[in-house]
Amino acid sequence: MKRNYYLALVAVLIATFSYGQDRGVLTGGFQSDIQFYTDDELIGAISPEEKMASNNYMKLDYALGNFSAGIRYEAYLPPLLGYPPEYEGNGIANRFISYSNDFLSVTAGNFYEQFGSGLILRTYEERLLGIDNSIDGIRINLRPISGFEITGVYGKQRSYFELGEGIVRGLDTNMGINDLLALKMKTKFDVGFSMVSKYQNYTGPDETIPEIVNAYSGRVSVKRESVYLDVEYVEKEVDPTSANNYSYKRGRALLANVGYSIKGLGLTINLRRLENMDFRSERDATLTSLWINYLPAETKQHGYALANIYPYATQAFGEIGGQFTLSYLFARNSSLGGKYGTSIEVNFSHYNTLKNKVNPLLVLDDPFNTEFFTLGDTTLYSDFNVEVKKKINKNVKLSFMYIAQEYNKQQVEGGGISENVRTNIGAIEFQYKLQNRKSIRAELQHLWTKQDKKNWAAGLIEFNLLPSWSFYVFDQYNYGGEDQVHYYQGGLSYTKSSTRIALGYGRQRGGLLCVGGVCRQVPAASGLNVSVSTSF
Amino acid sequence: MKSIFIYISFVSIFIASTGFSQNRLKSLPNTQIEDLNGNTIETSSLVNEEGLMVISFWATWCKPCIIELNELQDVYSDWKEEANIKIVAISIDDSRSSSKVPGFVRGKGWEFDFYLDKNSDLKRAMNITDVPHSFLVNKEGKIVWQHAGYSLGDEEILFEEILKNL
Repeated sequence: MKRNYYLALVAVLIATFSYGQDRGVLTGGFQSDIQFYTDDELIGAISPEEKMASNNYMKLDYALGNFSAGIRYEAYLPPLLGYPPEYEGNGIANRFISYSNDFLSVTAGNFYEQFGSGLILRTYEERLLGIDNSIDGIRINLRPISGFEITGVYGKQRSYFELGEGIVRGLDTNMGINDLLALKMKTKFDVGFSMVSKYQNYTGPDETIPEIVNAYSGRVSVKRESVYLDVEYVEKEVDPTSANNYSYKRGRALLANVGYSIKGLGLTINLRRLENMDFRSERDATLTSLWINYLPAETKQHGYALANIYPYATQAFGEIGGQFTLSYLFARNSSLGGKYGTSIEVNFSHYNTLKNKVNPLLVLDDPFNTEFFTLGDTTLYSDFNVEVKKKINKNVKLSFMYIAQEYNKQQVEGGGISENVRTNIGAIEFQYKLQNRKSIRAELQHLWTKQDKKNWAAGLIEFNLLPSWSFYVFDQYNYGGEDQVHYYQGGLSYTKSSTRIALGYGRQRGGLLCVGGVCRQVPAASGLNVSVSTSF
Repeated sequence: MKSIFIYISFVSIFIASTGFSQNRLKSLPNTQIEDLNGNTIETSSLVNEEGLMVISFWATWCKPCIIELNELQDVYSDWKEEANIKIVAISIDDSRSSSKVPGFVRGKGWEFDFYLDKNSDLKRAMNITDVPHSFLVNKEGKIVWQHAGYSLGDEEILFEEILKNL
């Protein structure tokens, strides 16, 4: 009922404005992903009862002067395999109306918001993972003077086609110290504070379950020309939920990013420690639903398929570690740069469990029972990689990559073999621009490991017929494993302006699918897929 | 059967709405993004008053995006000379990798104007499904051309569009 009310409101607004002098601007987008499933015993793919499944999204936005309104319709007929079955059905998944001017912005309906780095609150949409935790309620943002900003949010989060039970309330401030104190210096200081509070009614027998859980955060950022330092700390009150096994420990998170960069050289260090930071607006929410905060894996997100067989997923219950990235460009006409220059990137990340205090009896008053800066004994994930890119001549580019990973399958996937998986991966990419608007891109990859499914080899060839057509064949061959399986795929796509139509056929490997460091398990699948997307 | 019906009505509504809106060029939506020094910038201030502007949406984890920006870097000085082009690269990296963007772009030697769209507000407002996605914007801030995805060599097609719109 409430949804219909909003729909009517948006429709009336659009109708009203369209009679005015300035008719405003209507924009929109459409996306449809369709899959036809077949049984494929070799990879363990069992086709569902409905052989055809599709996820469809249609979005319309309207803007006139300081006003804007939007609506998004989604239909899962039924949802693609691997998406939560709760998505089955269709309806208005998102609608909002908003007013903004130079110092004020007000939104009613669904909105996306991020406080700081998102460590305390972030609502976002990631269609590939079936995540949309937008808050449905009210958002007010004020910028009364230069250097000061305050945002307040109130509402319930989207949970499939319903809303979660918990209410989320948040307040965030950002202060540009240089503007506020009229400092005339090159170094720029910014500070921010946030508070997020969730409320969920509890009618059960356990008196220790809190109905309100608060979290607080503070952050500082210092920037000067080529250098920056960002630090953020979050503390969360006791929040027993299904996702954290009803833990009565407080939560805390520390994130520090340091960077230095000048032309031709970039260096970034990320350090993060998380403890009991699974923060959701409903006590019984699990998997990817109803997250209030955002805890991406602080590791390199790889472009090669074989490097994504063992991807890290953040361990919100406890992890400590960091990441180092160095990018360097050997200049043109230098000995290593050659005629066109050579670019190199080195990245290393490592995460361990937290270290428990030796004698818990001595630290009864400690709400955490862990050492703060000490690494625990168990490695969760480690990744060292080097990539070199080289332009050979006007039409040819080559790139080489080496990756070594250590992956704690038991911890990250919650089961499986007890020994960590250690991989060595080598990859080569070749780009060649032919005459008459044609081009070729090819990849060769190999993964060596003695654990789990053993060795893999993969190859890709992509042929582009500009301006619109692209064709590819791709095979990942698990030749070291017991079954010796080819995960082959082939397809083509047609692109014109903002419209893209793609057709593919083949096998999809089951496992963790990760986008932006958030992962979900997808089953093995086989069949034909069609994707259409456009916008106007 | 019901699904097919829903699907058809869904597509028809969409086609009908595109029909209503094709009479004129769209402006850039006004949203806030960040520059690499952490300053908030209104997208309306991006317009290149001296000529055309290319906007390329990208991410540090997106392979075709990096191929595209490397190719654009190779031709950037020629394009500036021949057509007064400004290239704006907007990263949709979220907090997983946005801290790496300054080091990444300088370490590659890229010379575009860089901005961050950390929670995809601008990406959403421009109805972008996936990165890479590029736009050609004229002096008045109107979008005259756009292209979803990138295939090796697409920059040549983009340059033809630039010459057409000079």
